[in-house]
Amino acid sequence: MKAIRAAILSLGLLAGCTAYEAIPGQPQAIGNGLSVVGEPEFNRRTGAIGRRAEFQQWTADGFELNALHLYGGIGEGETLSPVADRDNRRELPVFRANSNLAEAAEFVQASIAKLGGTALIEARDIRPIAFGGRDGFRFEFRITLKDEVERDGIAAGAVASGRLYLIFYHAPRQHYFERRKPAVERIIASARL
Amino acid sequence: MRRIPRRGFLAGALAGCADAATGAMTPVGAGYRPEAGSDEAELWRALDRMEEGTRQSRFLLREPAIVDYVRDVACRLAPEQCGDLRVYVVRTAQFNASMAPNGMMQVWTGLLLRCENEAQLATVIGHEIGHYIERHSLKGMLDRRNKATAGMILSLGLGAAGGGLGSELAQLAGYASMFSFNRDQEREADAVGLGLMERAGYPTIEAAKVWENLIAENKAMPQRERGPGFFATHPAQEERAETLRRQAAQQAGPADARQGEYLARLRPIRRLLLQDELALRQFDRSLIVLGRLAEALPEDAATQHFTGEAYRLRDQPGDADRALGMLGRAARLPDALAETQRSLGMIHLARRDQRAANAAFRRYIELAPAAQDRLLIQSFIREGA
Repeated sequence: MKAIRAAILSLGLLAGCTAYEAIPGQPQAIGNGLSVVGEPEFNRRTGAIGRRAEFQQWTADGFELNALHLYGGIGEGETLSPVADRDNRRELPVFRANSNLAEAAEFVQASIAKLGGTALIEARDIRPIAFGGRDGFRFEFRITLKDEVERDGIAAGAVASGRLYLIFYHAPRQHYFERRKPAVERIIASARL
Repeated sequence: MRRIPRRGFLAGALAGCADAATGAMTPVGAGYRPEAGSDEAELWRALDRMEEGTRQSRFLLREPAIVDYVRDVACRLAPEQCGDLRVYVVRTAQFNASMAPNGMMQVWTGLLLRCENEAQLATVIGHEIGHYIERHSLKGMLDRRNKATAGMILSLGLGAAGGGLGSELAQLAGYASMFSFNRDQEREADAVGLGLMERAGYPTIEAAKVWENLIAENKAMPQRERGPGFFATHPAQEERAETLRRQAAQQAGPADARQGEYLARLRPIRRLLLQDELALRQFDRSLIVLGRLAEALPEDAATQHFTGEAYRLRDQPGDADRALGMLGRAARLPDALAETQRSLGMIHLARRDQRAANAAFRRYIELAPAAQDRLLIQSFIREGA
């Protein structure tokens, strides 16, 4: 049961032990030139995750209740999960450097579904936006994991120099999604690339 | 990431040891209820609570026409048990089905997609009814190997709040994956299933085909994606197909696999089944399933579309050409999906054929003006190309 819980916590993107640090309300480097302005209501999980230093996970109320994943670039041949990359498990969709924005959005949605091990995912309002000053995409999604809890999420990103810069957020639909949504929108809007 | 255990219908080859079933028990007859205070009554009580979780699950496919159809097949096979069984169709793109001793039957959507006709569905349902009639779960519960599992189920029945852990378990593993049946029990269930099929007028040769199809699917998968040891190393499923084929040869009298009926009944959910199948990202295997379906339904736009999609998303050398061919065909069929135009546009765009991409994307938006990705797709249409 413990393994199941861990998987539900953060779509299986968490591995190892967890320590947190506060995030100051200043620009935070995520990696490869991506930075966002911190929101003090969020905390950062410390320590390198998988093989990628340029991946961060933030939460306000604990990963079960809201999780923000920030990628300072997913490169050619990499997946959404640094843990899967480390363990060389490649059932996950693999990012292609020549992806357009629709393909990148497709990659993100398919990866989240696969990580969540569920067919119950729906993306909506998939639209172009400026992300970090680049042409980017944004969409919202609703996903039901094996714990039967409905979660809502937002994903936003851009493809630049063959890398997918990405921020995605998810939280239980009841209460927690809306509660931190304004801060998440500010974080996305603050992205610089 | 967690792998859903492949047991239930597929359990036979997994249970390595062939120990004899524990004790002699009377098979279940119509309207059977366990004696109050017995171990069996305890098990039923726990399962009833799990069933409550299943009933509330968001993963249940609730289309009455589909659920009724599956129940009709079960009742046609086993009219004596019809009043005692309750059918739940679970939206999980894996091949599986199970039947618990209290009459809760789960059929996964991955099974519905994979059956080529009603007789193949009847094969799996008949097999599960076989386990039910022979009370294999109870025997399993009394068996040392399954003591821990039995304890878990019982504690659920005693303690769990409805919809909490119960539903998680019911959905996660399916009841059937909790007990492992031994090989003798699998043989027994196969034999009961075949008998039911024959009596109901189904060609029993379809039982062997179910296994042969699974073997073909599995052979198409890269080694690393095969189940943990199950298909990769075990010859048992080939033996099983062989045995079933031999037994089928003895069938006398007319039989109908009811393929037309089956395909027509599933039509309303075929698109959903295919979409979920592709989400597994096991394209080599999905292409085998899609190939069989395309043979039966050469003019089905959804089948053609998702075959094209499997190639487009697999993205190996030559796949873009294959995808373009399939999607082009799909686009010309009656009932063509709007998404086919979107996929065509993506391939044209990747090939820097902006004009063809523009045309496909325009057609997509025309066919699906309310598409969730309308704005993003519109941004790909570049004038002056």
